[in-house]
Amino acid sequence: MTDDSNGATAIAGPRVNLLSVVTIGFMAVFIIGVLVLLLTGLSYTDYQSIAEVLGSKPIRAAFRLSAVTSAATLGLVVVFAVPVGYALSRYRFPGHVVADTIVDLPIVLPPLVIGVSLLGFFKTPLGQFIESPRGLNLQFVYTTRGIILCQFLVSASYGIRAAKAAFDGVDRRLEDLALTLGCTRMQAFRKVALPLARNGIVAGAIMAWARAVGVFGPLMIFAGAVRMKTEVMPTTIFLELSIGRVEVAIAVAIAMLTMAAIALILIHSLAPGRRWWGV
Amino acid sequence: MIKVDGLTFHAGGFRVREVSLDIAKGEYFVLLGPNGSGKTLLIKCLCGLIRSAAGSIVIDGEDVTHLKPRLRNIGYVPQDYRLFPHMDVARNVTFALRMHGMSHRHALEEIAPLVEMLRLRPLLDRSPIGLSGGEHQKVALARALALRPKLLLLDEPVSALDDPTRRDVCAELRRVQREFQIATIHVCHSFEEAVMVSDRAGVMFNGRLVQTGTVHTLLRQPSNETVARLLHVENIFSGRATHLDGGNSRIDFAGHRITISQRCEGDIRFVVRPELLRVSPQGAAGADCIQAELLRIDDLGSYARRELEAGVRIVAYTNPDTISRRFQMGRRYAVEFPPDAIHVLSE
Amino acid sequence: MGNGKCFGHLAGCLLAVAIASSLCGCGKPADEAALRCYVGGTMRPAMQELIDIYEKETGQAIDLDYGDSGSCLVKIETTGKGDLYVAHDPFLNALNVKNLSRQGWAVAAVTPMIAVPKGNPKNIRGLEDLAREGTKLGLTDETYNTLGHILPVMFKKTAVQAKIEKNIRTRTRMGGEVANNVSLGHLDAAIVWNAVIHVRRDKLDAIPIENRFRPDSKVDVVTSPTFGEVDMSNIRVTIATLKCSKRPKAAAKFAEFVSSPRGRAVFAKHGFSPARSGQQAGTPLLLYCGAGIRPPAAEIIEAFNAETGVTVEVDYSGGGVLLSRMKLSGRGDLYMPGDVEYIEQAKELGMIASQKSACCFVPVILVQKGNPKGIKTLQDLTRPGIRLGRGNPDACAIGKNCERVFKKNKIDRDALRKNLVFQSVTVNELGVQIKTGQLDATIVWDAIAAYYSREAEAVAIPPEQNEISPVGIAVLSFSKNKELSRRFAAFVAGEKGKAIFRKHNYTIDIPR
Repeated sequence: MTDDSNGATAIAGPRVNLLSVVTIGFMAVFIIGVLVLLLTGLSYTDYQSIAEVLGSKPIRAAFRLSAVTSAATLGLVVVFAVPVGYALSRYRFPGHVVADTIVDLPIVLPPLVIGVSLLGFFKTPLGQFIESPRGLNLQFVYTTRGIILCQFLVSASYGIRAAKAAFDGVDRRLEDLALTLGCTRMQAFRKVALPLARNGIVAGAIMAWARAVGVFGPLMIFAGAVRMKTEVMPTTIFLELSIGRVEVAIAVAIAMLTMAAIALILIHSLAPGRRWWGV
Repeated sequence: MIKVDGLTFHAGGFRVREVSLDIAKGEYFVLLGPNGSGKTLLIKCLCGLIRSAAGSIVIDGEDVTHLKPRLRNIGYVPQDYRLFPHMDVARNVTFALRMHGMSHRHALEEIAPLVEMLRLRPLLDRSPIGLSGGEHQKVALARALALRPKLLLLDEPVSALDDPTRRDVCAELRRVQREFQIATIHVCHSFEEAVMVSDRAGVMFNGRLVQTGTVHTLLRQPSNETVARLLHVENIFSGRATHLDGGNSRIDFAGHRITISQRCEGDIRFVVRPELLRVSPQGAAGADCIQAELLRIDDLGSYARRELEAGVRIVAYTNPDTISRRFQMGRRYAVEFPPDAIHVLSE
Repeated sequence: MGNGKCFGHLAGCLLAVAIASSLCGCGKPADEAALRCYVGGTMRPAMQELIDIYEKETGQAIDLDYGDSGSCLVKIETTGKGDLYVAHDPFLNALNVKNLSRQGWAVAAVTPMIAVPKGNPKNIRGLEDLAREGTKLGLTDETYNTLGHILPVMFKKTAVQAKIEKNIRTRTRMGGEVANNVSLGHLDAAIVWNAVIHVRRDKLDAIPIENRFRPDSKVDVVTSPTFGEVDMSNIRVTIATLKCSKRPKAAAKFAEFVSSPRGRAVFAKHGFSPARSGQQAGTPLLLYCGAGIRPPAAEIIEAFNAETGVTVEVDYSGGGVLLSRMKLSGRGDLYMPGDVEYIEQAKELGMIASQKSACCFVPVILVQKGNPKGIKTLQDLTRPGIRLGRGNPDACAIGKNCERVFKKNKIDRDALRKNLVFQSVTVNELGVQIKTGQLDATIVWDAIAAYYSREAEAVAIPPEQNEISPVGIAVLSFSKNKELSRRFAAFVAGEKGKAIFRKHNYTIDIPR
C-alpha cells in the first residue's frame, strides 16, 4: 500500500533500449498521425471561414446549445454514474451480470437506433403520457430536453463503466474501517469511497462528455435539426457539409475542439488530482 | 469489562462457534491461532462488521451485540493498517472525531496528548503514502484510539514489520495500553509476540476458542495437541497409561516406562517439557531414566537444544554452559524424566 | 488539501445545471406557434431563404428540420408531429402510399448533371466523356438513391457503358457526398442533381447531360428506391401538407407561398429547374395511368395526339399510388387504373365524373421459359420450393386481382406465404423478375405475359377459376377540361383504342 495510488510508475534505468524505442516509436506514429489529420483539416479552412463561423448567429447559437446541453448531460451522467457504478461494484444481487451487461449495451448500440427507438417510445401510451399536457407535460421530441436525453443515453454507459471501475479500485475494507470510526454507511461512502474513486469518475465523466458533445445520429432523428432551436455543433457540421461548405464545416470542428480543450482544462482545474499537463 | 458469551457466526462458508471470553478492564489479551482459524473474523464480528448468529457481546454492562459498528465504541487497527490514502496523517487521526461533528482544528487539540505519546507530531502533515511500516502502525493506532474506545482490537499489528521494529512496536503497544488502561485484544500467530505483550492469551483453532490462560499456562499445560503444536511445544508422545495407587500413574511408550504424579488411564498423548529433562552419562538413582543416543546439539545462545534417539525423538534444553567435552555424538546417555515435566493432553 | 470539498462543489454545480436545464426553459417545446417543415435533399438553402422571407412578411415562425428525405419520412411517421414536407417525387410517393399527406404543390424540378471541378480541367463535355480512361467518377448508390436508379438507364443509351462503369471510384448514398469529393479534388466528375452543384458553384461546374441520353418519359420508367414508378425524366420537388398537422390552414398558406411565382423564383435562383405541370402551356390533359397498361396507353395517346393535336401527359404508377396522388393534388383529368375497383374507390371519394370500359385484364400464370418447374395449375404454386412473386394487394391492380383468384380457388395461404419471395408495387416488375430468373412463377395480366413472350411462358388459368378484371377509364370530377377528357375517354373505348389494345395482346371482351 505504499505505491503511488495511480498505479503507474516510471521505470528507472537507461532510457534507450529496444522496449522504449519500440513503444515510444508507436506512440510517435500515432501522435503524428493525429496532428497531420488536424493540420490537413486546418488547411481546408481559412481565416474567412473561421470569422464567418464566429460571426454567424445560428452557429453561435449551436455552439451555445452544445455547451449547455453537454454540461447538463455531464451533470446527469455524474448523478447517475456514481450511484449505479457503486451499486454494480459493491453489491451482488440476482441479475447482477445481466444488469452489468445492460449498462454496457448503449455503447454497442448504433446511435441511430437509439434515436429511432426514442421516437418509437414517445409514440407509446407511456411516452404520450409523459409528453401530453394532461400527463407530465414534459416535451422531449424536437426539444432541447430531447437533445439532453439523447446525449445522456449515448454517453451514460461510459460514465457508469468508469465509476464502477473506480469503485472497484477502492478497497471496500477502507469503508468498513470507517464504520468502526463512527461513520454511517452513507458517511463512509461520502468521506472514503467517493474521494478515492474521484479520479476515475472524473476520467469517466470526461469520456462521457466528449461522447455527448459529438452525438449526432440520434439527434437528427429525435431532436431534429432546426436552426437556432435544436442545432448543436455536430448538426452544424452535417448541415454545412450537405451544402458543400467543407471549409466552414472544418472551422466549426475547430471551434468544437477549442471548446473541448477549454472544458477539459476547466474540469481538471476544478477537480485537482493529477494535473492535465502531466507529472 | 468485556464479556463475550457463546458468540457464533458464519462468514463466507466459515463458521466461528461458541466463543466465550472475558477481558478485564486494562487487560492485554493476545489471541493466537494458525492462519484460517477465525481470529480475524472474530475481531470483525466484535467490531460489528460481521453479524453474529447467536451469543452476546457485552461491553461495560452494555449489550452491543446488535449495535452498528459506529455505536460500539471499539477501536480497530486492521492488519494492513488501512490508512485513508486521500487524507494526510492529521486528518486520518482526527477522522473519528470529525465524524462525530468536531472541527478538524478542535480535534487536533483534542488528540494532542495522543500525538505526543506516540511521537506523531513530525508526521502530521505527511501523506500516508511514503510512511514506513512502523509509522503506519502508529498512525493507525492513534486513529483507533482517538475516540478513547473501551476495547481496542489489534489485528496482527506487527506482522508486517521487520524484527527489531517489531520488538520496539510491541513495547510501544504495551506502554500505550498501560497508559490508557484499555482492554485490548491483539491477534497474532507468534508465540514470542504473545510472551512480550500479553497479560493473558487464548488459542483459536478451526473456529473455536480452544484454551485461554497466561502464556505460561498455555506453554506448560496446553489443553490439547493442537495448542501444543501451535506453541511449538516439542516432545509430544503417545503412550498407554495405567493408574497406580496414590494418585500416580505409569506410562508405557516406545518401550520405555515412566511414572507421573497424575491419575490417568488408557491411550494418551502427553508432552514432556524439554527444559526440565536432565541428560547425564549415568542416570540418577530412583528416577525414571531412558537410555538414548545423542544425535545433535544446537547452541541457541540462551540454551542448548539436544536431540536424542530412543525409539522416539526426544528433545532436551539445557544450559549451554553445561555443554562440555563429556558429551559425544552417537553415544548413549540417560535422560531423566521428572514427574512434573510431564503434562497429559486432553483428547 | 480540500480536494474533497472542491470535488463536491464541482458535482454540485453540474447537478444544478442538469436540473435547471431539464426543468426550465430548455425543455420548452419548440415554439407552439411555429410550423414544422421537414426538408430533405438539396432543398434546404432555398427553403431557408423562403422561410426567412415568409417569417418577415407574415410573422409566422417556421422551423426547418433538415435530414435526408428518408429519415424525415421516418420522423413524420413515428412522431405524428409536423406540418409540411419538402421532397423529391419518390419520397412524396412514399408519403402518399403511407397516407400521411393532405395536399401537395409542385414547386420545382431537378435535373441530373455532371459535376466537375471549377474550370473543368479534364474537359468533360458530355456523358460519353466519362468513359475516357483514367477519369475518376463518383456516383450515387443504385439502391438507396433516386438518381442512382436512373443512371443505368442513361448509361445504357451510350455506347460506352462498360467503360464508364470501369471508371466508377465510389458510390455514395447522398449526392452531396460525391459532390464534396469532386470539390476536394478526389474525383474528376460526379453525376448529381443540378441543385447539388449549384450550392457548390464556387468550386464546381455543371456540365449538362445530352438530351438523347436522358430518360424518356414515355419509355424509361424506372422503379424508384422507395415506392412505385416515377417518371424519371422530370423529378419534381413538391411541398406537401401533412395529415398530422394541427394547423392545416397555416401550413397550406405557406405551401401556396412556396409554390407561388415568387417561391419558384427562389428555387430557380438556387439552381433548380422549373416544374412542369399539367396546367401550363396549351393545357395538355393529365392522365393517371396504371403501370400495367403503359405500352398501349402510350400508343393510344400518340394516336389521339395525331388525330386531335391534344397532348396528354401521363403519370404511370400502381393504381393505388395514383389514387392517393390524385387525392393529394386535386389535379388531373383522367384515371385509368388496372383494376376497376380503384375507380369505385375514387367514385366514393367523389372524384369521378364519368367512366367507360376500355379492355379486360386476364390473369395468367407467368413462368420461366420452357416451364422448368412444370407449373400447370394454380395449385402448383403452393408446391414447396417454388419461388413465387406477386403484386402488393394494397398498391396495384394485379395484387388485388391475384388475391381474388387465390380466394376463389381456396389456395392454401400458408403455403403461398412460404413460397412468396417478392412482392411488387407494379405488375411490370414481376415480368422483369421472371425474365431475370429471380422468380419461378407469378401471376400477371395476359398482355404483360405476351410482352415477355420471348423470355417467359404464360400458363392460362381456366375461365371458371379465373377473375377477369375489366379496365375502365374515368373522367375526374375536378378536371378543368372535362369536354376534352370525355373525348379522350371515348377514343380509348372506341374502335381505334380497342385496335391498339388488341395489337398489344390485351383482351377486349371477357372470354367465356
